[in-house]
Amino acid sequence: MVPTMSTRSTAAITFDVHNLSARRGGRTIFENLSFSLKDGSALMVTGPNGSGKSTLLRILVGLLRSEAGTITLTPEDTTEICYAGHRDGLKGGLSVLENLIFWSRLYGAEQDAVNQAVNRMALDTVLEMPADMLSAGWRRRAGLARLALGSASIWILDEPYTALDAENVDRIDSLLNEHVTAGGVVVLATHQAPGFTPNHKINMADYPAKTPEVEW
Amino acid sequence: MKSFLTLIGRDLRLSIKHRADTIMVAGFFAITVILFPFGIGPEPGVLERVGAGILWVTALLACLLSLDHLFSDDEHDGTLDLLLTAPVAPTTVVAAKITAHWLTTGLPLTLLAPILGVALQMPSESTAPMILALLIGTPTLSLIGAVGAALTLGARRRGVLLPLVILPLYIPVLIFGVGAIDTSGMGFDAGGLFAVLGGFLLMAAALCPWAAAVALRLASE
Repeated sequence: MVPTMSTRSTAAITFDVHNLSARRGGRTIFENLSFSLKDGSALMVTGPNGSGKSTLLRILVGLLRSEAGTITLTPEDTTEICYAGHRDGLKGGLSVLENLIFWSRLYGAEQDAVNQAVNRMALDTVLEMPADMLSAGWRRRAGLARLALGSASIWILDEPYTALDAENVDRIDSLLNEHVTAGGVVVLATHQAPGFTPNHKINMADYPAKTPEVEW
Repeated sequence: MKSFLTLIGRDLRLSIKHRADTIMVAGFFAITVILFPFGIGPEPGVLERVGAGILWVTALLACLLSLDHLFSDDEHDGTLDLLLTAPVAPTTVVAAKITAHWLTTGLPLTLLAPILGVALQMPSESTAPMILALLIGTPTLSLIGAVGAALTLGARRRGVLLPLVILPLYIPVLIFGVGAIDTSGMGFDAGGLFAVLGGFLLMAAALCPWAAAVALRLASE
């Protein structure tokens, strides 16, 4: 039996990005990038190293400022976004369970959500282990279990498949697929084709900087 | 408020797991203070005169030791990014971290000070004012320090930069903190000095969490 996901807001979501440009360290990374996502859609961001996948994702969650362009989110509520970056955000000194309980409290989730997340990621054997004793793959699983804790409808994931074996890639895929089917939005940057078909795709190489660079 | 307590709870839990850090700060405070009687000598009157100053200056330095990793631990393992994108105001995150910092640094130092005051031959009349002054003053140190820790996050040579940014801002607390203890020790009314210390605390409490949150935003870019 597949455990049911926590309840999500059913309001229609639109996530519009218009003519976005980014500059990092004095270099324009991408320009004029636009896309529009509605509830129940997934966007896969691909592109060579250094093409700005992570930068785009960090701009989308508000950790970086864009150089130009607009991001419109309806309903206008940033708590609707859950981000998972390269680093898992686990506290090494705390056990996996303590980490998950902390995030569930912070996200205002039900007590039961922790059990569900543990089941989803099959974490029961490592619950009592301190997070810094875990292997990279286990850390990733424990970090991504956070997604199943909150009730955010937009998930923004940076390389979620890193360090995962085939079985756990499937686990993430089914989690993402279920989220999209339930009317959520997923944006993921990856080099690896996901096990479900995202209905939007962006290749960062299609948005190179056109503005001539100032020579120093 | 609930997320504020959750954040404090997490930081306290972490400081229990890494209790060596807290013990080291308290140990640094105790050992440094005890060095002064050896360095200055036991002549009566001398230590008594400089005791309050020694306690305060050492408390400032001990506080600095632990400020270095106030935000950098969370930054290093990616937690900071997640906290800044979580459904919690960044100011709440910062305020909770400052509170936890004071509970694990300022409070132990305040409790240790009366014992060390004996080693510095401080008069017994100044014990209560000493505790009160540290109780009002050390939270201000944590608050101001958080701004410095956030500003220097990700900077090279942070260990040197942080004291340069923070120590000048600690001077007012130092002046009034020492003044309050000395004035009370001499038997005068130090109510005004304590009121100024309290004023610093209120001002820092209003401004610093906000300023540190803005600095963290900039540092995460």
